[in-house]
This record gives sequence, structure tokens and C-alpha cells, in this order.
Amino acid sequence: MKNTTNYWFTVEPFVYIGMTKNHALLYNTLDGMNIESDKIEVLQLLYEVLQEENCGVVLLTHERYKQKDINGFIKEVREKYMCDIIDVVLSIGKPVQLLPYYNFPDKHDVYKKNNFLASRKILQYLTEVSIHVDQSINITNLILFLQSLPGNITFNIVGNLANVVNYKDLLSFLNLHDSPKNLCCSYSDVISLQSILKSGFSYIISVHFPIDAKKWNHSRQLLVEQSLPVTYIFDVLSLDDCQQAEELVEQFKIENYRLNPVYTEDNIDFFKQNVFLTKKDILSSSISIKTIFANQSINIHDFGKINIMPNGDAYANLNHPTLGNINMHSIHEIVDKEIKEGISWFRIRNQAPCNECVYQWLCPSPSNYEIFIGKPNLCHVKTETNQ
Amino acid sequence: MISSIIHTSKYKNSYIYDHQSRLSMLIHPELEKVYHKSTDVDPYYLKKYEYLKKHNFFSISQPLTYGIINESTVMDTIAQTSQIVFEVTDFCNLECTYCAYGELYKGYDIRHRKEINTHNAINFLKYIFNLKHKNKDNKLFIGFYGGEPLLNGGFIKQIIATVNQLKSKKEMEIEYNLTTNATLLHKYIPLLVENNFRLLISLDGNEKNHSYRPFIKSKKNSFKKVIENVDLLQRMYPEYFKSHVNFNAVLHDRNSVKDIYEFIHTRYNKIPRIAELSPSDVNPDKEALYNKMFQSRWKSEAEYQKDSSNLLEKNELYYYRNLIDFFKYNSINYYVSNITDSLHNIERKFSISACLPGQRKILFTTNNKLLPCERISSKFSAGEMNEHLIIDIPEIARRYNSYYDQMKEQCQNCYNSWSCVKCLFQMDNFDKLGTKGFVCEYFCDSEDYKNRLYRYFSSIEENPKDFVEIIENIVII
Repeated sequence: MKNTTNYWFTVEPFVYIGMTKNHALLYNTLDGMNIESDKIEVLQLLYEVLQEENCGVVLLTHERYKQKDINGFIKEVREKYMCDIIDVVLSIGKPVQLLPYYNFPDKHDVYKKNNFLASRKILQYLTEVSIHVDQSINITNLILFLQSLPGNITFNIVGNLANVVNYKDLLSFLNLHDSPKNLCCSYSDVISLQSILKSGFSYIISVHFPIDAKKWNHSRQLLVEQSLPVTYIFDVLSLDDCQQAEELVEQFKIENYRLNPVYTEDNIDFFKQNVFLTKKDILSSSISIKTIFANQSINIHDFGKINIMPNGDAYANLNHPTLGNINMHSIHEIVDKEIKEGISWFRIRNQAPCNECVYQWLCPSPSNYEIFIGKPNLCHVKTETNQ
Repeated sequence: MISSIIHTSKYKNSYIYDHQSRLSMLIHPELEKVYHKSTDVDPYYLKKYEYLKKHNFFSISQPLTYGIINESTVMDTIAQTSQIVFEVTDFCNLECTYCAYGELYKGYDIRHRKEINTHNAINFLKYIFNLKHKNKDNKLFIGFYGGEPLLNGGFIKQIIATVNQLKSKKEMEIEYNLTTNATLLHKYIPLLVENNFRLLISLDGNEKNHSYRPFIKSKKNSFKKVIENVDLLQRMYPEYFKSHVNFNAVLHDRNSVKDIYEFIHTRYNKIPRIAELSPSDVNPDKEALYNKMFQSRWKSEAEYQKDSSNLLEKNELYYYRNLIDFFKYNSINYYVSNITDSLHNIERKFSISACLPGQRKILFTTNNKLLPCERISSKFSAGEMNEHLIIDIPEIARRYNSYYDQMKEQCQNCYNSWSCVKCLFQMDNFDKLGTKGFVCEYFCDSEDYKNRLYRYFSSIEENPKDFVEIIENIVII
């Protein structure tokens, strides 16, 4: 007897579908498996799945199922548990599949409207305030401003506190807050905290090569005496710097550290080899549904963060225009401006060439490197795809 | 214990709902057979079942991590409140049979024909204005509630005068609203129109429908006076009427969703809001009367839906509102409107809904008390404004944390915990909270939730376009 089974075809809701005109990527968020296709029939089938009126399910006629490219694709996606087919006679009407809202044209507006524009509690989005200090800062005004901030914010005090006349007033004020406080400075500028000022304080120490051995040893001594959590950030310009950082880590048994590649305009090759992402890099970490939602809507590096400069100017990202000045604007006005007009918190990969790439929303948000280097994408994906 | 649920739909399709991941997934019936440990199963689905199991489907959900209210949250919530409501008077010139302050219910303050203390109310208003940031996008709603607020129109005038002085310093936009029985509307029409009041007029339908709303003195149905006044307002200010007037009806045994819609729409071209009789705090002596009067909105609405010329709007329909809640809280597209939760591995939740003062509004009562809303007993007061403002912020934080703590165990095992908007303060058995005898009256177990899922998926299968339409319009306010 002739087999004439028709099926309902669906993509599982934990699978991300990245589609461009000639290319499709299916990425399984449960196990990181992926399938790519450039077959016209397959692209058409996936396109239909994403149509609003189909609600994630397409009728796959027997004839279409038998088509070579479709048949091969279905075998592969079923093997990887990314899609399924169900005989239509097993139910009495078309089913639905509630896919994540990834692939709709208005998604960015919808995210912003549904989350931020209607919300009157915008200060809840503020999670971190970095206070940049130097000798010109007015600590009294700064403290007045900090008093208006909501609780549970992480504070970073960035710079050489020893140069600030009333820095102890600032530390005493911050000491009253339960929230985390990071003293971020060069290893050559470490100051000692009084024992009473230690509630929730940590050090984030930046290291630039070559190091001054005397100052390094002095700072190590100071930090050991403090018994506070320390994280080292090693600024690296080359592989040689990376090696020096590793030597320090090993020699001083440093547990918490990060390498921070620094772009100098002369070291693009170092970046291409060590910072630019390949397909393998992108797919090597497991990417969850939540991460994809975040990548589509907010900049995960900048979101929720505000920087305050010694003159009071406030920025969401120091490379973007100021949002106001704390001596003239309230925190509410500053955050409100970033939400309504800012370009930092919502800087996502929606520009060319990322918007023509199936990996668009699997990639992390654009970082400051893209700004420094002047390229919207720091990756080799396009080159790999064209090969 | 919460775990994955397998359910079906009207079209006999099968689905898994996984509470932990918020994923709903269409499945092949063979997978359902594996789940039910049937023999003679397609081996592919045996493997697929194991695969899904390995990735946490069909397992017991991890316990939720609950948030903690701290003092700064309490203070921020008060400072950022978007609505102040004044209980202008506790007296009303009507004697509605179903009134929350009448014999049908218990648990509310006794009415003493008392008017609001103007001096204290103005001081409270000044306090709130002082907390507000200067911002032209700030909007503050000021509401007047009763009793019947137009019995104390002088107070309303004084508040408007005070607000006019205060608002210029803060560049704030003010919007007034008033809930009224409309029997005294004729005395205040110019004041209300000049100040762009949004009016919510209580009207239960035609004369017979409205007969539970008699005057307190004459015991006569207030319908004729209400209609006379509403008609007058519409005649005098047709444009204002069109844009600023809405109607609120209570559903009971003398009307129906159809009666209410048709009367109000035909006469005023408005779609009314409809509320069921509140089931909370019914006076035990009046339970028979309550049962006689109660009519289910869902049933009345379903009845009206059969009428092909019905005026029902989709987003007002019971099934559609339930579907919105499902997409908003229990589907993977929860993150579309809660994007900041996507940044955290652990999502902190609060158990049952218990609004902090200012979260939705702050009600200032005739007894100078501050309440999170007008629907709850004064025993939940958050503070007082007499000569001085008394708000014990640490005590409020402690009290709310204690409520959440005591609800945890029930919420932890409730399938509806993410979308629950049931007010803790309106629970009949609130006084038993913290004791072994306390059972949440809205607790939803797997069987109950399975039935709900059947309804949700049957509905989406019939109207697949509802899915995107709802996702794109879920606005959190």
C-alpha cells in the first residue's frame, strides 16, 4: 500500500533558529549541538515555521517530506532532538509550538516597550555605580548624590584615593551600605583601609607591564595585611604580557585574576589571534535561552551601570556622550536619559555585518573593543563561512 | 512537589509543560506513552525521553529563591508611588446591598460619617511631593474615593489648589480621577471638566439591573438620578465625556454581562468594566444572600459570547486575560517583559502578592491611616499622618518579610505561584497565617494546572495569532 502520511513539522522550543536569506542555523540550547543548512527547501520550511500564523508548526505533506533535502534534514534534526514530525491523523486539529520570541521583526521595540518605557521604577535597573576619583573631586557633593541612590548597588571607586583630600569621608559613607564596594586602582596606588572600614570592601588591582618590582612587593604586603578579597586585572598588549601575567599568578599564587587585552592601534594581530571570535569560540560555551534573550535586548557589559567622573559628569559608557552631571541632575534623570536616549545600555548586535549572520544573537554583546578598534564585529565567522 | 506536566488539548494534541524552565513543548503521543510507562513504544521516543530527562525535564523543580524586602526598597516604593488616593469621606448617600462597607461583608472599619482631615491630607501630599524627583516625565495620579467623594467636594477643591502650588516646582504631570455613584455629579460638572478628571461611574445596567443601588434615605433606586446626571454631563461636554468618562458595573443576579454591555454601550457608546461580587470577608450571617446574588463573570460572559452580535472585546474576555497571564509569567516568553531576569542565574521571587505601600498606590483614609489600597482592611495600615507622619520603615520591612516567609512553603509547591496575583491581605483565613491550619485558598496543584493548560492550549490552537499578539503587548506597569 502506498504510504501517503502527512506530518506536522515543528522545531523544539529550546532550539534557537538563526536565519539569513541563504543560510540557517539551528542551535540546541540544551546541549550546544548545532546544524547549519543552505538548502532552499530547508530554508523555506524553517521560514514557514516562524510565520506568525503558523505558531511554530507547519504541515509537511508526504510529497514534501520525501524531497531529498527535506528528508535528509529531518533525519538529522530528529537525531539531535531539535525538531520532530507527528502524523496528522494522531490528532484532530493543528497543534501549536510556543517558540521563544526571537525571530520577529519588531522584537527590539517590543523588549524596550515591555520592559522599560512603561516602567516608573527605573532605578531598579541600576546595579553598579563606578566613581572615578582624582584630586579635583568634590566629596561632599558626591556623598549628597550617593545618598539619593537606591540600596543594593555595587560601588566601584576607581583611581588613586591617596590623591583625594576627604577620601575617608567617602569610605565611611560607603561603609554604612551593605552592598559590595570595590576599590579599583593600580598596584602602585593601593591604600590601606582602617579596620573599621571593611564591611563589604574588596580590591580590584590593575597591573600594567612592565611592573615596578618594588611597588609590586609593597602592594602585595599591604594587601596581605588587609585580608580582604583581591582580584587582579592584568592589562595585556601582547602574548609576552600574557606570559608575564601567568608567571606572576604562579609565583604569587594569585587565585582571582583576569587578563584584560588592551588595544594600542599597533597590536591588531594580537587581537585577531586572541580576542576575535571564531565559530568554535562562540559555540564552545553553552548558550541558554535566557542569554539569547539578553543578547537581543540589552548590552550585557554596560546595562545597569553608571560611571561618575571627578567633575560630576555621568556616563553609561565612558566612550559615549554624557548623560548629565550629578551636581545638576538627579539619578532618576540620568537613568531616565539613558533609557530613553542613551546608546550604551541597549547597544546590541543589530548592525551590519552582524545583522546578516546566523550567529548574531549567539554572540555576546558588543564590548568596548569594537569601539576602540572601530569595527562592529570582532570575529572570523564571516571569513569561515565564505571559505 | 512541582514537576513536568503532560497534558492534552481540545484537538487531542499532547504537550509537556516544564515549570522550572517555563518551556511548553508539543510532543509526539509516543513520548506520552513512554512517560506513562506503556510497552510497545517507538524506540526513538524511549531515547528522546531519556534525552529530555537528562536535561531536567520530568524532574522535580528546584526550590524557588525568594527575595527579601529591605528598608531601602520600602522607602523607594513609597517615594516612587504613582498614585495617591484620598478617602474623602466614609459616608455614602446610597446603600448598595453588595457594598464592601455594608452588612454583606465583615473586616472593614465601621463607618462613622467621617470626613477626611484636610490639614493632615495636605501635609501628606506635601510629603510625597518632596520625595519626588524633578522630572517632566513624572506623572502622579491623584484619586478621590469614598463613601461618595462628591459629598465632600470642598476637600477636592482644596487638594486641587494645593497641587497647583506644588506641581510647578517639580514639573510633574498630574492626573485626577474620581470614582462616583454620579448622584451628585450635577453640582460639580465644571470643576471636574476644568481639571480633566477621569471619572469612573458606577452603573449596573438598566433600571432593573441597577436596583441593588438605592438611596439610603428614600430606599428608592438611584438609577433615574444617575442617568439624569450622566446625560447632563454628556450633553454639556460631549468631547470630555467621550475621552474622560468610564463606567464600572458590578455583576449580580439582577443583571448579566449582556445587560450591562448593551445598556451602557447603546446609551453612552462605552465599554464598561465589570466586577464580580468580592468573595473575601463575606459576613457568615449573610452567606445565603451572597450566594443568591453572586453570578460568575466567566459564565455570564460565555453565555453572551454565544450571541453573534455581542459587543465583547477580546482583551476584556476572561479566557484571554488568563492566556495573557500564562504567557506573561509561565511561558518562556516571560523574559520578553522581564528581560533583567535573563541576566541572573537565580531569579528571586516573592511569594504571594502583598503590595507594599506605594507599589500600586497609597490610600489616605478618613482615620489618617496609610494603606496600600482601598480594598483591604485598615489593620494592614503602613503608617499614620496626624500632626506628624509616622511610618516605621524597618517594621514594614520586617512585617512583609515575615508574610513572605510564612507563605513560602505553600507557594513553593503551587503551580500558579509565578502568576499569582491573589492578595494575601484579602484572604479569609489571613489570621491563621503561620499556623499549621493555614491553607492558601488559591493553591493550584498539578491536576488543577493540567486543566488550565488544556484550556490555554485549546484556545491557542483555535486562535494561533493570539500568541504573538499577546507577547507583543504585554506591558508591565
